[in-house]
Amino acid sequence: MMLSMISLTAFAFLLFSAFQADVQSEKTMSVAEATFEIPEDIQNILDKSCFGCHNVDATSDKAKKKLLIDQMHELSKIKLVAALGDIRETVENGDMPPQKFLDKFPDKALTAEEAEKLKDWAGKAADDLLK
Amino acid sequence: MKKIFRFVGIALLLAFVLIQFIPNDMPGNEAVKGMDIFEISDIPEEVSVHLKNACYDCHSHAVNHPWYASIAPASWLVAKDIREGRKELDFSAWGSLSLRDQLKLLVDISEEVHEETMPLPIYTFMHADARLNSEQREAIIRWAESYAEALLE
Repeated sequence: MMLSMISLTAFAFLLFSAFQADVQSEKTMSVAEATFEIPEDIQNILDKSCFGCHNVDATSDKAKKKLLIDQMHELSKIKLVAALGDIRETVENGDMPPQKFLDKFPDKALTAEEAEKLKDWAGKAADDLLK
Repeated sequence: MKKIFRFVGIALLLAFVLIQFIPNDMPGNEAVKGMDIFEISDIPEEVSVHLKNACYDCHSHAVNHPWYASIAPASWLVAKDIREGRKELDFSAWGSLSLRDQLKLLVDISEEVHEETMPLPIYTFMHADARLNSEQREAIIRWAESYAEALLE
């Protein structure tokens, strides 16, 4: 009887701990979500030049492996800062969208102004996350 | 036929000698004191030895130039790899980087080491001590991840 009581208490404790851990991880996730939001003007630029290849339903595995714009809010803070750094670096180097893609869809190219806006936003968003 | 081979052989030899006189801007080792990642953070020995052997010859200002670094055309490739390597990541300038750049590079390190795109296969072909087995790769990844976490605290 005593043994069953102890086992039952231990089981209840384990269950409670697991529940607490879940609540904690949800909290962390929601903090990350709450602090990361893509402004409308940036979203428009991303939609025009990047989203076609960098979303979960896209066909290019290579592009999806590099960045999933629609899943960015689910990244950990470190991965999100890194992804924003990648965006900044890629735009700065003029590597994206790729030339091959632009040959087919020249209207998807980033204008100098859009590139500048995107770079500034990526840098600032990363800094804001680290405040 | 024999004459052709001799002609081609002499032409190649002549070209090899001549290209030695083409100036090659080999990047030097001028580092800023106190900025190297080893001067800033404690890196576990199981990781530090591999960073030095597998990464530092392109990603630092503490390059050990190999014997072929002064013989063209290999010297051109070495110079190019060092220039490009430092542009991507320079461990000797780690302290001058912003926190966001350090975090990005630590994620890059762990991804590239995991995907085995680094160290470059052409480098490990020439440098046996730069070859990483899966255990050594894991140690580098674990270090990069825990260092990134520590930087956030």
